[in-house]
Amino acid sequence: MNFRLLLILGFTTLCLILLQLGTGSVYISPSSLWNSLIQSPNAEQTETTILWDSRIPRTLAGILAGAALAWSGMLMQTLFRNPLAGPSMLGISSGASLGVALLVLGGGFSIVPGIPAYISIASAAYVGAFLMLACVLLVADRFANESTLLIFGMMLTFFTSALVDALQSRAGNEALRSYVSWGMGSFGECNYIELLLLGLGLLASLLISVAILPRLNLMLLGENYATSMGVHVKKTRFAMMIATGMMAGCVTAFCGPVSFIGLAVPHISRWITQSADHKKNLITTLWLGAIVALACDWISRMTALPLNTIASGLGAPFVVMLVIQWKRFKPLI
Amino acid sequence: MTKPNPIELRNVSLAYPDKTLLSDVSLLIESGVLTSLQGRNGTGKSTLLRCIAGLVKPSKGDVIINHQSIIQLTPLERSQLIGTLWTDKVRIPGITLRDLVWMGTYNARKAASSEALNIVTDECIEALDLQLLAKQPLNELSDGELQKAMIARALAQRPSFLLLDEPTTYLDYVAKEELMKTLKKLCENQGPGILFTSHDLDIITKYAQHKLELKNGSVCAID
Repeated sequence: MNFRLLLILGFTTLCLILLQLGTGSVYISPSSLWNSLIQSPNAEQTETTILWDSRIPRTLAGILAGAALAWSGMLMQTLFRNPLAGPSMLGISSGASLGVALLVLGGGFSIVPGIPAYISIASAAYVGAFLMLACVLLVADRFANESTLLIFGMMLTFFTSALVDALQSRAGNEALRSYVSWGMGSFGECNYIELLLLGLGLLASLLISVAILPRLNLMLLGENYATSMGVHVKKTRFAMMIATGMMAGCVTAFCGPVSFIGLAVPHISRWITQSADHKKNLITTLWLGAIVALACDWISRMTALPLNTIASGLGAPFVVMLVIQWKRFKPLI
Repeated sequence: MTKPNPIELRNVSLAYPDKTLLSDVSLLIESGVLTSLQGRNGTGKSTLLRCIAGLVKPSKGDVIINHQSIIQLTPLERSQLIGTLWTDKVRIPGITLRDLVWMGTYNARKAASSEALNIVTDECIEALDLQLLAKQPLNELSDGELQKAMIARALAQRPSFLLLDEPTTYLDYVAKEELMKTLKKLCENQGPGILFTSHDLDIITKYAQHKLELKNGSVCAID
């Protein structure tokens, strides 16, 4: 990464963090921010409370979730050698959705008594995501190539969506509203324990990614070439799915099914680095994911529109413009 | 340096439910020899190459290299014995020709220093006469240049054998001649054994030292 890019990314991140922390229903000036964060973080002031209870966890959730979604999107686009692949391709997000739908909308299930709603929703999403991932991993070995796996993942997504639709059609108004609200995605619901889990999930996935990093470029050449160049394709595919599953599963559990970031940010990163090389794109993708997530969340707060509306509504035209502008860009990653 | 053992196909058969592609094929592929494999479209030339490379398991018979069945070897061990060129086009934007050839050294990363791997990379680029294009991204190369780059990448694996599926496809007449001369030169002086498929009878007649034909599932020598 060159110095200019480092400077631009660093400056943008700093600006977005200041906007996230300072603006909202209560304006907090940079000097008050300094006071509340550095000089007297334990002071019992409204601003300090707002910062530590709401804005800081929200900002951290945006950074972690954005980075995780972006890198898992990159892994999926490499695994399937398909520029349209994203973290949701393996049915992980839809598994999480099904978990939450069963809990919130299912007739026999209700929010577990004595446990805060957000914990039971996050747990249901987590269990749903991981059961779906386990299901994909169990059968992945039987598929001859990535295309068949892609079709399986998509069909699984359609199937779970059908189940969720069925549950929605029979649900009451209150339950339906809770489910739809979760489905719109938000970084504002995470507490510090969830942030810790999100961070650990991202860290573990990154460790796996770094271990398989030299193999990722070879995977871009296709299964035939990767195998004949010494890559154990099945093991690498497994590692990529585990890493993606952990990242996407954690994000969906704690922030809802956040769309677009995982699909688009890898393209923006490759456009910036002008390369599909994973080594060149690792840091850029993670960093850009955090920036895009922070920007979308800030706009979402300012406009009081759902996160997914902003992410897809503003992001999609931007990526189309990028692809049309960059003539050298070849969508086949 | 001792001459590597040949690849031995022992009664290899491969059948799909609706078609028998290979039937009881037995042959030896010698190292240091440029061997051609011809045959009509759909006769199974690429499938035979995939069997030899260990990517497809034969329904019957075995492919033996260094007294071991190819299918029993790990991908890493196979990559040290056999380098391949397939007909899939690979154009990854932003990856330079040198990056691609360097990828070929993946199988030696644990055993060799990066300086040694850089030397191997440069040697392979030079062997295919691609020095001037080394910094060019793959998406800016012509089809012929990309084909040569892919062969240089296979060569960087330092294999005992190269299996090349239609290496002269996409090349004009002059480039075909140049590539075949290069391949012949590579084979000389205890170089790798090369088995290539082609439909170009002129090229086969002019350059192949050993000629094979695949017809009705059987392989016969046509020397």
